Amino acid sequence: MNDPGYRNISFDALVDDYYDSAKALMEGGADLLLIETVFDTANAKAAIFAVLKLFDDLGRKLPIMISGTITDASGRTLSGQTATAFWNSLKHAKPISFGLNCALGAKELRQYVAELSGVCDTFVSAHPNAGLPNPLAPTGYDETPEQLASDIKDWAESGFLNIVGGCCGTRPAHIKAVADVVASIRPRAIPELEVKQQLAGLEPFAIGKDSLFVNVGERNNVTGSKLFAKMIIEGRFDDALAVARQQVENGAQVIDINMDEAMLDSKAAMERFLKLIAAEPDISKVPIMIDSSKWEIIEAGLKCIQGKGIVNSISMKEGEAAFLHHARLCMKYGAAAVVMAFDEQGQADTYARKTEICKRAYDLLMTIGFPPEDIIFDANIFAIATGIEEHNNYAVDFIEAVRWITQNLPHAKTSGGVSNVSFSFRGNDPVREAIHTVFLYHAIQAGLTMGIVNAGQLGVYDDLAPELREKVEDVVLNRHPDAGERLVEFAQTVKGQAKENVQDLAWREWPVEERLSHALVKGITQFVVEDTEEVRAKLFSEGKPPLAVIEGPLMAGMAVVGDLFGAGKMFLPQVVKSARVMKSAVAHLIPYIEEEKKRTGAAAKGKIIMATVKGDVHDIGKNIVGVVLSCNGYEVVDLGVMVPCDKILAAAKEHGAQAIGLSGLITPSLEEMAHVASEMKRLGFGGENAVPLLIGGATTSRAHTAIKIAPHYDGPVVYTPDASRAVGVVTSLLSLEQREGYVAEVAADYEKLRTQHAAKTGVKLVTLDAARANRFKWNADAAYVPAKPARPGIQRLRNIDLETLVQYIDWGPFFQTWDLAGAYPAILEDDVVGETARNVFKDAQAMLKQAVEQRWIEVHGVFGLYPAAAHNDSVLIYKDESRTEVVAQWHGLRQQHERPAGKPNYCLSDFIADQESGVPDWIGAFAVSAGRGLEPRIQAYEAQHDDYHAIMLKALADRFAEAAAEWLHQRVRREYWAYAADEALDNAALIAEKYTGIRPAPGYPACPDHTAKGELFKLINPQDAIGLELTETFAMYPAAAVSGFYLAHPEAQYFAVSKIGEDQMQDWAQRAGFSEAEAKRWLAPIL
Amino acid sequence: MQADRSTDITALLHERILILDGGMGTEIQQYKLTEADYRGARFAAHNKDLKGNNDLLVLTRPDVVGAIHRQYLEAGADIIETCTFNGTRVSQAEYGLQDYAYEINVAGARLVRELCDEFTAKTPSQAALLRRRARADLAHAVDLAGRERPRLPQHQLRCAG
Repeated sequence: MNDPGYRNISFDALVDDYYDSAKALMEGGADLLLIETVFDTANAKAAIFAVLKLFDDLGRKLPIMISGTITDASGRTLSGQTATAFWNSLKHAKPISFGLNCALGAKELRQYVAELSGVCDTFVSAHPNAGLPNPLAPTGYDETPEQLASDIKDWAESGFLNIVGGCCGTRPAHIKAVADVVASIRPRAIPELEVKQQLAGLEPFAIGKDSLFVNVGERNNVTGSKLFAKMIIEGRFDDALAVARQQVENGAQVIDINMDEAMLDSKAAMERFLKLIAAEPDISKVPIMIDSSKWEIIEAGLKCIQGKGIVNSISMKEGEAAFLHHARLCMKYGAAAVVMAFDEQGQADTYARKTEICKRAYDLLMTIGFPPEDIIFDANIFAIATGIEEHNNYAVDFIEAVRWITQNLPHAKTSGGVSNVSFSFRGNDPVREAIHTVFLYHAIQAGLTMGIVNAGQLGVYDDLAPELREKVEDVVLNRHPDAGERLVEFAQTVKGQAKENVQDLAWREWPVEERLSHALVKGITQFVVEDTEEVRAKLFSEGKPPLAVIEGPLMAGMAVVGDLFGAGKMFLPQVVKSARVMKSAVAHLIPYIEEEKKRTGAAAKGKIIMATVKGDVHDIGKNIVGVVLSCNGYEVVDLGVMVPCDKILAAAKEHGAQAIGLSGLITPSLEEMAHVASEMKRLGFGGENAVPLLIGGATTSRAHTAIKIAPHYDGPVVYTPDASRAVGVVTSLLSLEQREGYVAEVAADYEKLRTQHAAKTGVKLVTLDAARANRFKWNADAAYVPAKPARPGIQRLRNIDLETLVQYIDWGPFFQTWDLAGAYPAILEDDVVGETARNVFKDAQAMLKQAVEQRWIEVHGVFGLYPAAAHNDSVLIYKDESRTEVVAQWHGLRQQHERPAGKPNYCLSDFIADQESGVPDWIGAFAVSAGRGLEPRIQAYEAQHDDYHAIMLKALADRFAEAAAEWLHQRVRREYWAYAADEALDNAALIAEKYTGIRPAPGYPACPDHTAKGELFKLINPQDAIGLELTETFAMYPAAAVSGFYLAHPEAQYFAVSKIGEDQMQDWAQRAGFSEAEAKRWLAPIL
Repeated sequence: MQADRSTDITALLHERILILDGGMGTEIQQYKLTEADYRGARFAAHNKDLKGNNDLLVLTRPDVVGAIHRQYLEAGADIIETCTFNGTRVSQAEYGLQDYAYEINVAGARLVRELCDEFTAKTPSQAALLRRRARADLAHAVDLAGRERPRLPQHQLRCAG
């Protein structure tokens, strides 16, 4: 079968077959009909169609259950849909339950069941296999009943399940074990979800009340595009597919397909094209709009699409009966419908007719239970400025009708064919585009949901030339009786003028070297490959090697970028975009360079090994430095995160690295860096021709590098504060002329820092005993009684609603990620960085929207509230209120520096009642994670040289983790612990910490001891609860996570422990059960 | 014709997690049935091999299928799947039994109906329900998909249910 459009069994034959099976099962006394192990959604749609038809015929219904199958770790059905797209495509069956079975075991299936439990507004079922297939096991599967039950218990406790059972390899003993574990667990509650139009191709696409304007691609239409019609008539379906693909690439979110042409067998053409599209994941990822004036063609199309598409259109032009018949069929096939403002009298042209017909159609559809969110009214866009007076108000009538529909017909959407409006200016594209732009601007403001448009031919309202815009607006809004004539006159002067983006492309006429430079500075990737190739070919003809393209024009361009960056005229987000251009250019050149190398054996400019050290997973800054260095012609070997010392040094040897860059964010990484430095010395990296060591990361500093790291190594150690300095540092270090002077300069600087440090009398420390005597007293206010939590014990919150969290985001730190200094939101108006901040913020919002809608990010939390008591700066955490069994201990650290009179030497344990007092007190522990499932998406960006979006996504995940911590803390204060049940604070007040209680996190100044995370994880077990791991040096993985303790004391506050003495270090070592050497290592940053 | 139980089912689903049964194919394997078992007297002279047509057992060895359903009910299942997951004409055509598809579905449902009624009478709180498998054979799913997807190992493709 070479033609993928071919199918050997028709939809209709399947419907007949399923119809009879279902009828027989009902005759035999079935209570439920289960459509299960669905690999191909189109097949399931046939089954649903059959069953709904049967119910109609019998006048009796049974509840329908649907269960699909995710076939492999790609997370898709065999026919390529994601779990949510699968749900969107079949929810029209209104099943009593929806879920997944077969193909995977419980462990692999978990995330997809979790996904469905978040998106389905019906009951959720799951029946996994007994693990993955094992051909050696007697039944082919070897998971035991206990193993399966343990996974199912976790699902049930996570609130995913309403119905559960087993598929392949499960036996009665499995079912008994599962039944036993879930018996006492509450079923999942069906979530209340916003009503949205939930479409699907291979991927889901939802349109809700806050959705932005939806572009429907118009070019696969034989009546609207002569070019496309020619392709179809001549049978050039590959070309026709290319048109569809290009539309999707250009941002069409739905594609309209119309084959209404007299020269064609339109029905056959529709079927063939849709089946071909189904075989192209690049195209079929978006929903399809089946467009025809003939119902039989629409119906033929509906039988070919597996996703949830849109019918374009149905109307009352042949009367109510035909209209409702078509609408009922849309419900059975599972499609949204464009409803034309068209009745028995004809097409509506005035506001009154448009609204009257739409209202009548809406009310009729409600009588048959048509989902209101699946109605899309097309109130008819007609041409304006035709010279006929009655046409002058057509645009206004449409826009006002859209406004009325949006306000008066709940959940209904609106659409229109935009190109019609400018029909009288055909041949004058600049004016037509201006009209479309202005028209859409006003229609969207009135609520227009979607439009059938040529997305590549839309302008930006604000960018239109003022005079043109004014004249067009007069016409669109019908502001003057002679507006049309005036525009026609003016149009003559505009005609033939280059359109907006052609003017933008004037730089394409420049010499190629300047074009490259321009593309780098502006971050334009569109032409970079052809320009690079042009230069390469040119240089090649002059006998120069491909590397000369990098060393010549590309480096010159990056030098401009570097200068602008250094001068503060360009900012990191723009530089990262420039890097993307550079990487694309370099990627093009690499095959040529490799070829050249083979011939000549030429060397690269310098090789640098980079790594985030063992135990640490933070790499945003490292990646940025890597990008900037590689753009500057250095070969960067990035070893990734959590890289052990021996691996770094082995790689350095293997690659003959000329420098090593280490990065880390958490404080134990500082120690690890010192360790790497000493190993470098031991293994002979130092001495003459030493390999320089670069140190970077948020907690590192010049002083730290000078005092704690440099002394361990007998070679240059240089602190590299940010990406903009990295190139300068590396260039100096690797340059034969500059190196000696530079190294001497840095060494002198560091020596001075060390001397100053040693000379400093430093902070004066008091003894631990004295510090304890000056502690904060939890019971200083005699009236204070610790509040008992309303809901003690452990709680898990899975799939925390992203839209809720968005409101809790603190954007301040987001800009710090991009090295943009300033407080949010003032930073957006900043004179220097404002523009860049706005741009990066805009991009962030766009990605945020996509991430939320498509659930790229999953946020989970776990927390527990426990009885606790303080004892010798430690907090004892008890299993239950009998306060007999200690389940975890948190060993606090006390401020030991001399404090001003009246100020206590704080330790966090001070905020918990002493064990000796006998007063029952409480503590909370929590962890939230926003990093699960992100890695493949980040890798995909990186694979496309798109570090900008990779960094953006990580930065957003960090924001979600922090937002979740804020949100969760508020819920704990108000509901779970409920000591502040009446608290009502907005986000600004939350960010300003105006609430009672704190949530100190291990690794931060009040609790600089990262090992506390070990006890915390023992207590609430985020590993199992939310898949959050702890590395050997107590960093959390995935990195977008926050964990800490809750303290509710009204005077609880944050402080910095800063320095402690030997006596406290020894005392802590004893309490925590560490040797002195271990304790010194963990507490090194504060000793 | 029995009463519509959908209201009861919805109420139960709000109350607790309901239990579906487990694999059918795996259990049938335990009986080590022969070609003769599958054929029974009725299809003794049929011109195609019938071994492996598990759905046919609802006609030829209802004792085996019924015993398996019973085990799941005893294990605590609330919902029992009929042994009809290849009960479409298209699937039965592979065995030349397309004309028996309807009868298989009716018999498969009746078998479960009786057992469920028996258990419901014994333990009225545990409403035993019945469901069907309206799954088409995967071969058709692949053809319908009309697209090339990575090939899965055969044992993973076939759901033995």
